[in-house]
Amino acid sequence: MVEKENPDSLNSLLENYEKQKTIDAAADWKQLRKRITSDRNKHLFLNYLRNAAAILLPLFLTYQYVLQPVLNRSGATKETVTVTSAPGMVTKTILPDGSEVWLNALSSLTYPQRFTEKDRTVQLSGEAYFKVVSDKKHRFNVETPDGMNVSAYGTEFNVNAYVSENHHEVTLAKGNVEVSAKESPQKEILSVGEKAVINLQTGNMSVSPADTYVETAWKDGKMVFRREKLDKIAEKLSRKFGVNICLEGDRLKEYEYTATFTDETLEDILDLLKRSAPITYSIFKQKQLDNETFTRREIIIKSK
Amino acid sequence: MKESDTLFDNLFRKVAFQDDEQAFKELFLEFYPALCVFAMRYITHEEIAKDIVQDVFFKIWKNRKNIDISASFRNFLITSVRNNCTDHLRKQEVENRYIEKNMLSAIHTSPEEVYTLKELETSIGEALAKLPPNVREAFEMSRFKGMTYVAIADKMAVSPKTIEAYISQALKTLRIELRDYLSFLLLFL
Repeated sequence: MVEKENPDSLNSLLENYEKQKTIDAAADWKQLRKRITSDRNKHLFLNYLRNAAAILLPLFLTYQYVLQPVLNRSGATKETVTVTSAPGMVTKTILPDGSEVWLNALSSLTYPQRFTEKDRTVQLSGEAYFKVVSDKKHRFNVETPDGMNVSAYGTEFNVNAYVSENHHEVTLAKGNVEVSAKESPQKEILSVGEKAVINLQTGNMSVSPADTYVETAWKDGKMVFRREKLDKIAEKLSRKFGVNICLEGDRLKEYEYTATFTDETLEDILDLLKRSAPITYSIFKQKQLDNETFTRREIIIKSK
Repeated sequence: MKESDTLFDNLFRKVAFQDDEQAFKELFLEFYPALCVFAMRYITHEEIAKDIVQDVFFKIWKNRKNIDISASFRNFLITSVRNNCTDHLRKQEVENRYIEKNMLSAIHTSPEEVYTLKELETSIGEALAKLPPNVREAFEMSRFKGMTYVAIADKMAVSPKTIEAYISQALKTLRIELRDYLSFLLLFL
């Protein structure tokens, strides 16, 4: 190692010693302590925030993804509302999303008190006219007991799905809808002025042009027939007036009528039908049953 | 010196494992003056040198849990201060496009030692104690009070020649007594 005498080395050691003596370590320690303390407080605050987040975030997520769906499922979603329309009446109802529905006579509509699921789904039995509020994120589905499904985002359409009939019809007034039947992969997208007819026996679906005025006149209290067969007319009349109508003889069913009725009574209408075709009709009074209820009035139409 | 190193290492262990602020303060007070003087070899500006040393201590406290000291705490301090000084000079170099070449080259000279104030005090005190009282008195007046030989001679009522002889005797003894410290100092001077 270097052991050579350097005349300055002792001098510099002594200088070093003297220089060190001039430095006030205690004062600078105070400065450093302040810095350490403020840094620690900053860290404590950040730690506090982090801990708070660590506790709150799982709570929030639990609420958002576990509790809320469960609460919704068990609570509001299961609570449904059913609106039923009596014979001869058109009932208008407004759904929770603001969509408007006109329910034709002897129809019922079931919908959730709040639309919380991905799709807005309602169940319909009978005939209804839907004016759906547009919501691109939530489909609007109409299901019928026979498994027909009408799906749309925001349109106006008429669904005719009376259980008693063997055809179901969907007529589109505005926008577009998708119609599908149960147990059938067939899906039809309707354009304005078209209607889909589903034959419930065969499950076949066909699309044809439709007169939306005729199909939807009922919601404005009108009965519009354009070359309508008598058996169809009888069915509509029986729903509107709450009576049973029987046609005697197959020939009758082939008669076609074109007419528009608004506030005519049942007798007025029957008289008009009688005048334009060779038929007669008879009305049977209501009968009281053993259990003190009454039967419907019965009307029999015969050919002359 | 080796005994004091184990003492410092133990103090640092207290800092690292027990978050002992008192131990940290002791280390700071012990080394701060020596390190400032050491840093001033690289950085002429005293305040900047002090800031750098304070930074080193601050970082040591912050990272106390993760610091891995392979040699001694003293060596760790020296290396840290030197590196921080180098960094500072490099930044300055970028700013000023001005390099103090010999300063940067001084960085590569190793090994280096740092003696704490207490260590110097003790060893210099011990060396001085070995001097005859007259010699010591003359040396202290010359060295620590900055008096001229003539003034000392006046005060001690001897000739300036005698003072000169005293001083050279004192220096000779001190060189021998303090040779452990000097051999290191040689290298970077």
